[in-house]
Amino acid sequence: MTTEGEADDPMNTKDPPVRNQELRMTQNAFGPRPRREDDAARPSADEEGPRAVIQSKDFSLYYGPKAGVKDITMDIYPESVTAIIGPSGCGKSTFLRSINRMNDLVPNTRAEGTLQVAGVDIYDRRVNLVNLRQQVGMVFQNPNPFPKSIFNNIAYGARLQGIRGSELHGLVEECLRKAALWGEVKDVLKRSALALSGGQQQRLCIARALATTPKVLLMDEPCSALDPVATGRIEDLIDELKTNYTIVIVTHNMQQAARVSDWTAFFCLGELIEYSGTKELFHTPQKKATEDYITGRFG
Amino acid sequence: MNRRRISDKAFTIAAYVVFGLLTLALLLVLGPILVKGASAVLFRGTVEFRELQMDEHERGDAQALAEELEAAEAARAPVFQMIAEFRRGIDIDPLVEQAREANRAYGDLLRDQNVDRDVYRDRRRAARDIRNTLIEAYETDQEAVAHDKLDKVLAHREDSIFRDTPFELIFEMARDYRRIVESVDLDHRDEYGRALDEVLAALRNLLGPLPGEEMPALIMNQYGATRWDRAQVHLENVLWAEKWVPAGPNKPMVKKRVPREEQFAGTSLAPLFPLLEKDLDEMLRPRWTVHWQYFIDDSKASHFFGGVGPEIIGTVLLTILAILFAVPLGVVSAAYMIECGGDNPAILVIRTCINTLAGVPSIVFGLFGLAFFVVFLLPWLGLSEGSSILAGSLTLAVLVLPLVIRASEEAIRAVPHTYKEAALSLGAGQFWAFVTVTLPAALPGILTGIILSMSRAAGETAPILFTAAVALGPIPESIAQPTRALSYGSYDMAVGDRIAAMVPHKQFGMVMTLVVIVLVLNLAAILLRARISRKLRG
Repeated sequence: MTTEGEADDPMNTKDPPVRNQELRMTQNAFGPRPRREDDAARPSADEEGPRAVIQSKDFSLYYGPKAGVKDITMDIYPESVTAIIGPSGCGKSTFLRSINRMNDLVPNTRAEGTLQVAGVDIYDRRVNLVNLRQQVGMVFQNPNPFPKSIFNNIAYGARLQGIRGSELHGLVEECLRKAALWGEVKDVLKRSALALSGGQQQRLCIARALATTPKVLLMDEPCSALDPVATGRIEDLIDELKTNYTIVIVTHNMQQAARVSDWTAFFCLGELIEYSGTKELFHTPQKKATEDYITGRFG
Repeated sequence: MNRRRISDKAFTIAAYVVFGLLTLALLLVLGPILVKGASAVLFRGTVEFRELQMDEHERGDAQALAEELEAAEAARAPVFQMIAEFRRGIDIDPLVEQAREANRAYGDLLRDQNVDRDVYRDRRRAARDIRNTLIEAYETDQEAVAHDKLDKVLAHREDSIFRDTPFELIFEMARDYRRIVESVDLDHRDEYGRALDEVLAALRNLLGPLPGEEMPALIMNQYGATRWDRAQVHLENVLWAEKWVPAGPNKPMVKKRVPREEQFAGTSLAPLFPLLEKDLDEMLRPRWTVHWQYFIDDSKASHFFGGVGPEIIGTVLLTILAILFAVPLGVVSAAYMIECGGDNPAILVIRTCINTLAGVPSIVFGLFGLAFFVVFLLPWLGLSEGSSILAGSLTLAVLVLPLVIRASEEAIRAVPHTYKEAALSLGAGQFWAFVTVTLPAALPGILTGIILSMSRAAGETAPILFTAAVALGPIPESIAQPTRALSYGSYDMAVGDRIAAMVPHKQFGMVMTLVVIVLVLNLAAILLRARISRKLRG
């Protein structure tokens, strides 16, 4: 996949996206970066730079006449974990699902403003949804493996990209290793994924999302259906994965947000109230609403 | 609290009652069909049955059959002998003819001997007188007169002119007849004649054509009772006469059963009936038979003999073709209505139409099939003229299409939305997500719907009534020809002709075959569903 022509890929150029040409998002847009050990080199929250992978500018999404999220402006930085917290119905899932356009499944949705992933406005009409979703993987609230074998679950996305044979086997193993599931399932790859436990299923779903070799992983309350032990394993996994992937996680659990994330955004009533480094947000919240929420006085 | 408990209990009881009633109804409906239908396959076959199988299909051991037939013949011989004896007493025409023949032979003899003309005339006159006296004896219905005449005849038996001539037969016949007159009541000779005819008719059903009779043209008359259970029925008809007797003044006549033995009491035929009852086993030699060929054989003489092979093939063909037409259409329609239709008002209209169609009586589909497929579409396309398997299966396809659509729709709708979401989030297109994830997950439900539709199609009569089915006829060579079918065959036998009453086991056998096919299909649906669900669940 990495051999795909770089010259004619609009993503690869420094020019603004070419609108009259089909926009395709490939690996190269998010090309693999060397692992960095020093977190100090990360940009700070108020430093807007080209290195933001996801850039949202005045982004609003409407379900019919009602706004799901309003005027969200935030940048999400690569190889970090960004947590979105907030009370129920505040639009955090809506925003998350906007990033790979899963909201398109809901009839009568309408987006305003811009939401860019790797510099491409993903709500542009010419964006190839298939490529977008392969670049921006998603893990859902409830583990939802396909009723297929473990192997076929992982291989599903890769097969869509035309990967076959031994390459596919290698990829499946690699993804299962990354998701810390290989040791548990390596002998039962032919078994139905539905026979796994809830925590295993969720790790399988993460492995499945990794198999399309995305750069961004969206996690929509990935642990809310799991017990504390399984939750702990998923959190460990998130911690490991952030060295290679940009992770956006929606969570109700503020301890979890504090534990796993580098950046935290607080949403309320469809608006972004506060967005800063996790430590900052939890220790010195700038807004009253944030403070009320994280101290449990509200929400 | 208490009230809630009572209402809970009431619901439980009502549920159990309904469940019990349904089970009972099922047993009451299916039990007799299965038990009686099984007798088409498993029964006590007689030697007549084995002879039929040998003659028609060359099944069985010819050597053993010949021995068996011989033994049966031996057992039957006394019966036929008794009948011949009795017949002589009541049926005088052959006797009269025999007497005339004897007289003619005597005349021929005299001419051969070239006797003198006068002697010839005298002797012929004397012979003619004696013969006429014998015929008078035969023809009278008064015992005294008969004895008198017979004595007159026998007075001449020592006459030298008749010694060692064919005319001596006359005296022998007279002696025979004297013995018969002593046993037979001449007043009732006509009555006996009619009763004997009845006995013979029943006996033919039991033992086949009597010796000396011409072989009947219809195959159903060429053999006696092939089954022991039918033999019992025919035996009843031999042993018992039905008579209309007045119940009293100004009252309608009533039917009464009279034993034949009583009817023929005092005659030489009376011992026939106990003999038949005692030795029928020997005459028919019943043996338990598994006639599995019932399911492959063609029928003979409108199902009097033979099996339901062509009917099974026809039903299977019609059903499979109907499903082949209906399933792709149905699944695609269901998929479209769910995946692409959304809240489109057109979809609502279509769905209402489909639900309405599911409730339309099947005869309406049959008439539609006749008007559209048989009369218009297929001849127009040049595919077939008149009713054909193709037209019938298309009609059945239209009939089951709403069922397939509804079952598929339910099954697809029941697939968790998260599967599709996951597939889309991995980069699959809508169509690909449906084909690779939603459809396989919905497969158990769709398959169940398909198999239930198959059993519906297999059992329907009305849609094929005008479009595909014939009661009898050649086995079709292509799908452009009409076929026999189990459902239509059952209907036809039930309303058709007198034969069904004579072979109830064939009728039940056909219905049983249909019920078994439907039950097997339903069972297959359950097993298939369980298997696929297990596989999906892991």
